[in-house]
Amino acid sequence: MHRLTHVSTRNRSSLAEKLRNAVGGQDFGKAKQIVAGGSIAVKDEHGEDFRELYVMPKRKLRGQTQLEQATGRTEYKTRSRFDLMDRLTKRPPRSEEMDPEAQKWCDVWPAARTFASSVVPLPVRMGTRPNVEKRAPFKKEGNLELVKIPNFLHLTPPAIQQHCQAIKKFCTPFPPELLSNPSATCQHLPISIEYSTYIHQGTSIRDIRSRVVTMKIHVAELKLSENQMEKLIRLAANRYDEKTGKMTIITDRCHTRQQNLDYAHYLLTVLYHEAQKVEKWDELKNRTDALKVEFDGSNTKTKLIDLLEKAKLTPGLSPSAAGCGDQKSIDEFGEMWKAYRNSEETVEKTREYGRQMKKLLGIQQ
Amino acid sequence: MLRSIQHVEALSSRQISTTSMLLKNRAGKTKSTSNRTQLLTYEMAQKPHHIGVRKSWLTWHSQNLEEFRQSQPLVVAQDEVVRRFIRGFFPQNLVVSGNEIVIKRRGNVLIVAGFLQYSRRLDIRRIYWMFGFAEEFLSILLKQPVKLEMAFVESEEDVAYNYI
Repeated sequence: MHRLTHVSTRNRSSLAEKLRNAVGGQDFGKAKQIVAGGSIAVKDEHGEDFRELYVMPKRKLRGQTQLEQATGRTEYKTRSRFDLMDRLTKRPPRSEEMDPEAQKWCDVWPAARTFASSVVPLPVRMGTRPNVEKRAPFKKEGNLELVKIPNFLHLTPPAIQQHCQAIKKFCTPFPPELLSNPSATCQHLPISIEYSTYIHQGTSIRDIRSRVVTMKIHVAELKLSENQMEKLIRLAANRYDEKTGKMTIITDRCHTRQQNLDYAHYLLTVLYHEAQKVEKWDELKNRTDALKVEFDGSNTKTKLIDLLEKAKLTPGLSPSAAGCGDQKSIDEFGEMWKAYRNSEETVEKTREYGRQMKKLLGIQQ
Repeated sequence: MLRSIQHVEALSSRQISTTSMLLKNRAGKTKSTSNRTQLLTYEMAQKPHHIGVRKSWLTWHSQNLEEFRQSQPLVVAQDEVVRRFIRGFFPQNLVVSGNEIVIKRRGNVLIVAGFLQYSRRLDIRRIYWMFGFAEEFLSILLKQPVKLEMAFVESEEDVAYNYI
């Protein structure tokens, strides 16, 4: 930003004086005239004449002609500029010529471009001033700040509308089933694939991060039996999210996105078929090997049924509420019990446990 | 022993010599003239610590973003090549010695923006030819499309923000 300017001034210029003398320097002093005229009056230190070398040019110098013009001694023909034709053909700014109401701005500014003050008919200003009331911010013409910033003059609402109209023929309607029922997405589209495309400046469009593919599968849509599902979940390990019921496969070991996508599909196929296999050791599976603690076959269930039967047989103890202790209420309790045993214990869950137990045994709440 | 005594004597006569501070920080400092003829553009008038606040950058690209630093040194070198070429190719038309040339990168396109002046000579055909040559030359040199979006102003006074 810092600019050095070397301004040299000739303090003892004899040329100017000589010119003044040549034009009409009669009123100068005698001594000055002698010196200016290149006389031999000046002696050097050896006492010899100091002959100053001065060669007057044959043409008249600029200062001389200017002085002659000013004093009216001679008339000079005024010549037009040598680039006059170019200056005449220069167009006035387009923003002054255009009618902003009538013309289409999309045709004037069709694509992203650096701000051009001669084209944009907006009275914009940009830049700071210490005191804006005294002096307005920097004008539009010659404003580098306006040139620097990216503008969105090619993205006016009519331009976007025009673009949308143009690409509409390539679009297909959104599935009406999903519009009416958004929760059916996982049923109709059980597999979703995510990847990122990185756009940045440079001569190379490659970005190594774009190879990563994330595949999410809604496991319930694989139509597996209970045992197969358990096997799939065990094989998938931490890739399976129990809350959402989705399995996530992230592949990034191949170089291209397509390869990674193929690999993800391959992994899914392998998992599916592996889950369907029944091995010999599958029969050895015990109750303790299950992923979840089951109500069926648990000690609680046997003890509970035993208790309920004893209560029925006891003549003095008749269940107060109707239907307590039957199969339906036991199943209901079993569901609650399973949820209670297989999740983190909270105060609410414990209270719910107590409530259900009272209901089952027909005790007054 | 004797030598060490002499040494101590010499030490006792010594003093800490101090000089005035050399204030060498010159960035963004402008020297004013008595008759207010020194032209200042907006870029010059704003201090370096105002970059990003009052004035923006002269180079725009994505290589200085986090996680996108793939070829930052290349970009810096390219910028210098472009700036030097423009300075050398349009010596008659430069504004403030060609210090304020904006280089923007969009996709694989390199855009050179800024201001040029035609106060000395306006030769429209020549300018068109030079623009075409510069674009073509830089495109071949940098192996990517280069666009010149430089605007012309009448003279250097048109870009003057202030005179000091």
